[in-house]
Amino acid sequence: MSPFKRWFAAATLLVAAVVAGPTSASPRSLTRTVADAITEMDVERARRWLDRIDANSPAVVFERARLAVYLGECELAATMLNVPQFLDSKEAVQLAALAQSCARATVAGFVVEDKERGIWLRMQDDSDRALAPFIFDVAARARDAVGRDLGVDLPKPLRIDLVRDLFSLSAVSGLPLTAAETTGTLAVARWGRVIILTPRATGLGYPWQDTLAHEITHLMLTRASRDQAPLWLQEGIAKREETRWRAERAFDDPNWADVIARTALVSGRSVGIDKLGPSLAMLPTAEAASTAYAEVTSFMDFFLREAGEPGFRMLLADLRGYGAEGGADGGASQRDGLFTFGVEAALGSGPSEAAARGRSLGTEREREPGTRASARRSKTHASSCVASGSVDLLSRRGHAKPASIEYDLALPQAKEEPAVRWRAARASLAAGDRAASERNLGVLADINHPHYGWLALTGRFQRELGRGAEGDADLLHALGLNPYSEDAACEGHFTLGGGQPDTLPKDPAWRALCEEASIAAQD
Amino acid sequence: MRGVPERFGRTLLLTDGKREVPFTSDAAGGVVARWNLDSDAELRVGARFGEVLVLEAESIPLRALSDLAPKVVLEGAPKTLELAKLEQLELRYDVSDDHGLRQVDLVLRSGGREDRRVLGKLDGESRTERGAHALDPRDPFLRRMFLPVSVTIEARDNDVAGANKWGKSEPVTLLPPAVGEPEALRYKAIAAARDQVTDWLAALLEPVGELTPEQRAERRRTEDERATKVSAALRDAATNAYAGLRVNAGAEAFLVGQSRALERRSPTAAAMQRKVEEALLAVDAALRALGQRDAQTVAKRLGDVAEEAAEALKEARETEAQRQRLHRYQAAMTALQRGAEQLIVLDALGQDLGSVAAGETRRIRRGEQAGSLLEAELAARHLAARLRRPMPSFSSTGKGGGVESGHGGGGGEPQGDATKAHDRFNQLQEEIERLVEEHRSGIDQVERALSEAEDQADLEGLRKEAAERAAKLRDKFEELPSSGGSPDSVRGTSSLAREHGNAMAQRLERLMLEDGVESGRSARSLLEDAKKKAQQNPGYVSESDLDDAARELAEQLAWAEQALERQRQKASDRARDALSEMGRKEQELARRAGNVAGQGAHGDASLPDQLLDGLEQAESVMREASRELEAGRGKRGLELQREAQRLLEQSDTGRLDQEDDSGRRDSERPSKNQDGKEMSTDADVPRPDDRKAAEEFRRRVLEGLSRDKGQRLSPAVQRYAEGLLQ
Repeated sequence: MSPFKRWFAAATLLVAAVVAGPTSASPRSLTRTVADAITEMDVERARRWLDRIDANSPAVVFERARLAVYLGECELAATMLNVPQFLDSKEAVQLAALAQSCARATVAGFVVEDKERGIWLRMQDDSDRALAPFIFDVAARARDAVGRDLGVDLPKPLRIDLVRDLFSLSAVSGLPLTAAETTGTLAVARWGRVIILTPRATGLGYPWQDTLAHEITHLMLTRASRDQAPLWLQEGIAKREETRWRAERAFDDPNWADVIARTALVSGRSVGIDKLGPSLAMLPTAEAASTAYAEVTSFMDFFLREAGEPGFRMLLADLRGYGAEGGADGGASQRDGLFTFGVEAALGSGPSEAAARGRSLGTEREREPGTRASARRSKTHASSCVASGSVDLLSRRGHAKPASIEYDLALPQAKEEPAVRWRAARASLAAGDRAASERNLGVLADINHPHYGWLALTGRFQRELGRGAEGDADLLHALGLNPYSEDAACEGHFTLGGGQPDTLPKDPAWRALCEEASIAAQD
Repeated sequence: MRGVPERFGRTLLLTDGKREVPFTSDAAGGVVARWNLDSDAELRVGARFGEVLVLEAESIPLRALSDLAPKVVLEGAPKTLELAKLEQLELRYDVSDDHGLRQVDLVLRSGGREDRRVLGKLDGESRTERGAHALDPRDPFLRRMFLPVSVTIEARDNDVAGANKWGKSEPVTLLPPAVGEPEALRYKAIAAARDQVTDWLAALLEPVGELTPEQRAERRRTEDERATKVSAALRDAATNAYAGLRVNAGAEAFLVGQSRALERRSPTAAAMQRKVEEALLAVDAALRALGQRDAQTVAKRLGDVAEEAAEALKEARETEAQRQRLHRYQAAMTALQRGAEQLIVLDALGQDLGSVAAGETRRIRRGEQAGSLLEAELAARHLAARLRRPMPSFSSTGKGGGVESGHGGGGGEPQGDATKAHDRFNQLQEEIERLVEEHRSGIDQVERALSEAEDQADLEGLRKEAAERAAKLRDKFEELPSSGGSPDSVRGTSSLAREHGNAMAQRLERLMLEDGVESGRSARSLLEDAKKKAQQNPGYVSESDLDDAARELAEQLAWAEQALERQRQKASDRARDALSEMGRKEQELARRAGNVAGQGAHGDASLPDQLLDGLEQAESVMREASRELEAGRGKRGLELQREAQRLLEQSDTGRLDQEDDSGRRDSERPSKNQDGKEMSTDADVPRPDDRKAAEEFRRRVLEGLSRDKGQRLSPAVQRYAEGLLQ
């Protein structure tokens, strides 16, 4: 480059920096601009700036490496940071360690992309590819719905890393493994990506759809606040938004957070939003994490009732603009006061009343008939476990008739247990007694919590009875809980004692998932 | 080269025309020069006068023969063997060298690992060496390997001038089983037996209508047959070896106990259903525990395989020998894939970890197929680290796992074991362990009480008399031959009689009356035998010498027996109160042993017949010992206590979940001596730094040697042990 050209490029850069916002043209402020762009996940803007900066100072190289991590190119980041000049920088050493562990867990991953909807998905285990269409669908819907709610537009593509186990989740996210194990972390929104555990990792699945929506909300809040949103705000809003992207489902309970927070406060087990630490995933127990989620959600519900949507958006803007000068903690006193006030309000008037008074952020949703507040788990659960121990073995060997006789005996002791009802209904159906199967399965009012197997079989029966819409909703709900269970993936069809269900789903995506689930069931 | 110069004062040298080596004085009137022969040469002696060299006319032509590497022939090599089917690998070798041998090594190689063991160090003069070495398939190096192992014999010659030359035999290649294959075979076998129990339960649950008496009898007969068949299948699964691997002793006892429970007849159909269901749940719980433990062990070993693949890839990237390293990588990947297939079999944890391993193996392959060895290496390192931490893919210390979002998840599955049979089995085993310990302590107390009582006796007079009698005995036995031919000959038998007679004399001197009497009885029997042989084959040994020795022996033996009886009586009298108390304790321990046997016979944690028999016998012997002790017959009581202790220890198989890392192998059965009596060979040898344990171990070994009252140990060994204990 000639001296003139170099001068011209620098001058252009300076003008661009000035035009772009309040940043000055000094190298330090340019680096800050790049860092902000990366934090806001605006990787194209960050890349443009970095392309213009003709410098290889440690700060610039560090930002290039950080951008690579945000793009999921951990191996590249590790290579950039593997130079002696970074040995004295604690921040760089930490990022280098993360890049290395992330590279080991993600290199040669199986990448699929939905370009039309702007979702990029990298799977550690290519067996998960059957789940990809469903992930794309949920991610796109959640991103759009939460974006509308929060007034935030997330740049495309949205990057998702689907990892095989907690060990890999820890390696990719940097969250300490022991902390992840302690609280049972399923997903993390960090480095501009959602890093989420495959549902096959947990054996019995988990509500992966809501978890994905939860993490997408975190990314949006990070972008909107330039990562200055305090933890209580992050978690409170994410928890609130995780179910708002979809139609309401059975056992959705709008008051759950108030109920748990109130119980915790009364019993002295409250965590308190000022004691959350750096992450809820690093709280000492899963119970503490659960209580903390309830408290922050309850608090944010209260905040939104009191301040309304405009107030919330102003808070985000405030955090984004003045974060570095104390924006993150700027509302600390107000926060504490609000929290105490909110909980006291909940204690005084009771959760239902408090909820009834509240204003909703976004659209109000219809509740499905039959939806019940979460009830206590059956005390007879243990006895039913004992009763069904050998019966499960009978079922697995394909002895449907004897199994159904045994389940019939166990059922009266565990009438509210959907797992037992589902087992009994399966065995009856396999034994050729459809009427007994429907009787054993019962209806929504008979059970005390959602169960993938129960929902899948109910969905199948609904469809077979001509109630397609209700059946589809139940099957989607089952899929959202445990997509790798044969019953959920195969639309309520199953096999006892191995093989593949006689009836496979017609939809190619469901069919592929059903085949994958059948393989997993036989292993 | 040596020589004697005709004229002194000349500069003599040796040359091939290119190089010159000067002669030097040998201090004996001659000269000497040393020429290193690297190749053929024609040497001449010359005298140098400044620039002028005068050469002798006659030359010395030399032809160099190159030193060859040793030649090693390994019998049967090359050949390939399956390690799992091998009892022992015998390696017979012949080594030869043209100059001399210095060392012979056994070399084991697998992937990048090498283990070199010196079989012999030689003097460098011997040109041939022949030997044999037995390689055990349980050798630690072999057991750790997952890639084919090349076994060679290698020899080094005595060439000190150049680099040592190593000769190498053709290899014997050992193919190890897939990582986890024995464990998977074991799991499948027990699972198949469990499935038979499940099928039986299903048949019992099928509703049957009214049956005629004939139909009932027929059904009964069918059920009996089924009980025998299913029980045998379970017993076989528990006791078989799987590629050399066996079930640990605790689990074997548990499963065989369940097999015994299944064989028991039940009074009613409902009782039979209950019995079969309980056995099914118990076997299932044991199987799951075994699968879980095996999955962790196998995963860790598979982690080593992944590390091997990663190392091979690293070396392939960084060294020139890429082809060999990639070959090593491919071998490791094959082992990894095969191991993942085995791991998936091992219950829920194995299925989880095996699925991780299979998925990650595909990721490593994707990296390799994309042409990036670095990516493949990084993925392999991640897998290695993951498998070395064999935890479930998702775990939480919270109840049922914390779910970050979507409260009210897909849980609600019945969890936990539906049977407590394995817990009760472990409780029974713990009670047996406690019994063994407490009973051992009781024996120690009786021994101490008797010993203290004997110490209190005035032995000075007895010692003097015993010494005099020992001297007389020795005099007579001195006349017998001290060594003989075969043990069956007259001289051999006489010599052995002399050995026992002398042993008796020595023990009398030390006032070890009981052992002395025993030696005397052996000597008496041998003398009688020798006398008969001497009459049939006269002339080899003097019959009168034999008669003299027998007369003297009879007298001293009678005296020793009486003295022993008197001494015992006195000791027992002195220890009567203490023995009585110990008898009561023995009674209590007997009651507890009976309780364990009762619970093991009738509870759901059924114990195998062999163990029950052992416990019941132990109880009976302990009760007898108790009676003897309470009656003040300490020595007899002690003998019975020792017998009971042996029976109790046989019943102590350990817990169901004990580690079987060493994996009781097929050939790890207790060894038997010539009489078919079992001799334990698995004593724990304490570490040298554990002084107390080491001292205790030494005491037990010596006491074990000295107290052995069987005929397994020769009198010489007994006397040796006694000498050590003095």
